[in-house]
Amino acid sequence: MNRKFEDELLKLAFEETTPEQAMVMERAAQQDPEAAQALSQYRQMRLGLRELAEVPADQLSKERLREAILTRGLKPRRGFNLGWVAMPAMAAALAVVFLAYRPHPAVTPQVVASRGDNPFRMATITPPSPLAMVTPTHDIDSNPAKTVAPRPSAATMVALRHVVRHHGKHVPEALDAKVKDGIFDPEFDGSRFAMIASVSHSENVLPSPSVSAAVPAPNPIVLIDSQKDGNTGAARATEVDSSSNVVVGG
Amino acid sequence: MELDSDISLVRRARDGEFAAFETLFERHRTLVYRFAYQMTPRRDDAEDIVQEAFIRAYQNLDKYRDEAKFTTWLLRIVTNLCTDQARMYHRRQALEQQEAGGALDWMTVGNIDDPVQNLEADRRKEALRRALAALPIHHRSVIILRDIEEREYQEISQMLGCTVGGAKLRVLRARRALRDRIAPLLNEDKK
Repeated sequence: MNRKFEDELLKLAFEETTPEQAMVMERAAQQDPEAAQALSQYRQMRLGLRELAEVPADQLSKERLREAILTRGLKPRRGFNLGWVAMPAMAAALAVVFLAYRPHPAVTPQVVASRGDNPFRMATITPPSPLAMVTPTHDIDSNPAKTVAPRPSAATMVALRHVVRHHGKHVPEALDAKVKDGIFDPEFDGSRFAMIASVSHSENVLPSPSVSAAVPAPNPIVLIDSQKDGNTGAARATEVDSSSNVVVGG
Repeated sequence: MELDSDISLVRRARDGEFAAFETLFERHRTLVYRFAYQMTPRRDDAEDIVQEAFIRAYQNLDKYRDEAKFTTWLLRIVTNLCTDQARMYHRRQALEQQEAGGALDWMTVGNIDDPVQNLEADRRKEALRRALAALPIHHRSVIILRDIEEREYQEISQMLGCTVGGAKLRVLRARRALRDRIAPLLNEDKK
């Protein structure tokens, strides 16, 4: 029994054939036991489906519907027939507004990397200044222009970077040696020493390919002593507001 | 007579006359309920679906186009709701079957005098209902519409958004799928 013949039997069982077709199919089905069985099954199925038409009475009511609609505060929506016309117009208007008020390139220093609430941030000075700077201040976003520091000598900066990169946690001791060698002036670079000493203990020093310029920190400066505390064994730290009178390595 | 046609009631409801919408509800709620009940054979679920369908219809009266019958549009909403509901039902059903464990089967009451025949008829009916419920929703909906609710192919095609020929083909496939599911049961009866 092929699929097409079976479909015809199905139509016959559900009385969707013409009387002539029905007669032909009945005769064909009687000659083929498999077809006769299929026809019988389809007829049973049809009767069974009709029996399923009985459904229990519902308990719906106008009042229930009205209450549901009122509870939700619904109203029939009004059709907006200009939808197809309005959409391109709205898009064009938005584009005009965007072009008119688009942000211009900033000329003030911008924060280029940040670690959330961490006080140490890296900032760059946008051109014309070629220098980048590292600052541990919170105020760089609110008042970035003030973060530009007096520029130290290039030799001093190279020495400082070398100390930080190669001595890690032993920055104070290494700086002591540099001061002794007269590589940089502790009077001028005092704040830088303090800053680098504190930054070197954190993980937030980001390598910069450019020459960096540090900023006097408005926050208290922590000076880390090379001598260790007798009780704890850790390096001593002193917090000062100004580094102008601090003798590095003294 | 024109005043009471579905289309005129819809227009009046669109204009804010809620009584007109209530008339539509009274007129078609049984039709919608029957269909919903067949799709989700639980009375409370079916009632919730009917109510939700009428609420959605009320909200979206502006989307109803006069070229289709209101009932066709309404049944289309019900079909969509039933499709959503069916997904949740299958999850819930598994849990409830575990809980019930078929404990109430013995309470089934039939119309035939012979209790053995009663039980047998109920068993077959229940098996068919379960086989129907197990069909994919697109098969189930067309069988309910055509073979249980006896809707015309024209109306089914409008509901499904296809041609009359397409509707016939879908019904044919659905019947075939149902027969494949209940064939073991029918063979058992033969024996």
